[in-house]
Amino acid sequence: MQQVFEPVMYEGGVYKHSLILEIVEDLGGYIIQINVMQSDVVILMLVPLDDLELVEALAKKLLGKITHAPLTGTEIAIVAPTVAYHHLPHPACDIAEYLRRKGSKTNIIGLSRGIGRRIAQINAHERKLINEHDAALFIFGNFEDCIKNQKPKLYKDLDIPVIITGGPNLETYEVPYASEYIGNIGRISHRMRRGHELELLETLADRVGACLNRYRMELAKDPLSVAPPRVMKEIREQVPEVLDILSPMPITPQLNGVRVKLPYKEFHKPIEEVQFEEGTTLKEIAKIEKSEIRDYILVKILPISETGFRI
Amino acid sequence: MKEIKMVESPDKSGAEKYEEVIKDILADLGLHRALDHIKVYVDPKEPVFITAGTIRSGLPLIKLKDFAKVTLEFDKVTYKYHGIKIEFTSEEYVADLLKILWSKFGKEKIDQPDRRTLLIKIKESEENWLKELIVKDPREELKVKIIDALMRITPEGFRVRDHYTKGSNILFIASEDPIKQEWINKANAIIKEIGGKNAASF
Repeated sequence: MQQVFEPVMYEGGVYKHSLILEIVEDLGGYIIQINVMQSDVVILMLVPLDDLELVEALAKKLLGKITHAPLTGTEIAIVAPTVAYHHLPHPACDIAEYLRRKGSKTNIIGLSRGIGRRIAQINAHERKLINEHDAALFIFGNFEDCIKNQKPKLYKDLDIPVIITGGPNLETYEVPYASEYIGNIGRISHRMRRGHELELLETLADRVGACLNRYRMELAKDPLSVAPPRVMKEIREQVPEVLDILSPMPITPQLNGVRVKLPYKEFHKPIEEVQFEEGTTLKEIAKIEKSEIRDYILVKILPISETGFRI
Repeated sequence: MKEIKMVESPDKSGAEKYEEVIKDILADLGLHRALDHIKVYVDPKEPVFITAGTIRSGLPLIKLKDFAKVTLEFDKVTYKYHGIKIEFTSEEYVADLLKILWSKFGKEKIDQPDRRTLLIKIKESEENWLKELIVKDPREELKVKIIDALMRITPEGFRVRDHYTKGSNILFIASEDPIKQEWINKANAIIKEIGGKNAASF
């Protein structure tokens, strides 16, 4: 029977936090990210649902906190029309930060020519880069006509779910090609920290979560040959160079794969040869390609319909 | 600012949200008290973005006599005229002053024996002109800042821009397409509305 995992975040002191790591691994869970900030530590992990109480009890003993982090294991692209001061740092960074707190890995992407109405465009490289993520969140402005009639050309050809934020209060069905539309955000030139803005961010995180859940269901119709956290664990154990990467998330899990932050040319072979105890190698059950982000390695796990088995 | 709420647009909710953007940007750049009136007209369908504003009056010009003592310098023994001596009470505007004097008289005629003193070898009759010399116009500086603020307020994609400033009036039109005469007429009408009959126009 397939085990059900609960995505959670542990926040506590550095003192004895290794006990948490040990218990999660002993229970068969996965550690996604460990972030040590001076004397504090934040750990993102997937814990077997049946054993969550054990981890919670230990966290309580260590005076730490376990919170539900629904977006754990997802990588989301936050797309702004450009990186000019009109769009950054607010609201793009506020949204990215909020989703990060819910467990997601967010990448902010500024298009080169996403501005304006008639002149807005996206190029093939940008489209490919955004398609590497689990979902894309586009941040648009305050005017209804732009969002409904002009901006859809930026995202209509993407293969992943697209979430749109904008100023006007519209329903999702009114915005063509969007999987979710969240209104009342639009162009903002101050930090989102007032009460109603935080509520909006909370709603946004919920809607992004719902959108990704629908995508998960879609993927579950033809399940993956192996779960991404398992691939992550095996790479971490069999390719020791991963441990020397300074990025906060050296292996980024996605809904249908992982991104390994090692140079493709040098390391795609060892990654392809990663062994599973069932006897298969990673290259038999996944497509390993060069990522559009730097020269990272992108591993996309194949579904059962293509490999014929599941481990 | 009396009319900050005046963002006019066929898209009512967009206009409301834009007011907030304008307030934030003016506050960020420390310009929220620099404008008397501001009115923005946005029509995303055209597409056009028009801003008209009047700068708050009452900013005094900085003249040389405000920060320096201007006297004639004579030789103590022969009483021969040497030039005009300027003694600063504040050093804040010296750099601006030197720039003006160098371009007018050339560096060879200007001598700076110490930090707070300048000796200019020119005719005695220039003394009064020198006292009244405008060293800095804070309004010009403010205009530059306001234009910068308007660039930030304008949607980024509207890259065809035209601006016009005269006296205390500022007009700014931005669009994706070449600027049409009807938009200029609209801008003129807006500046008349906020600046009265004597307002400048394109």
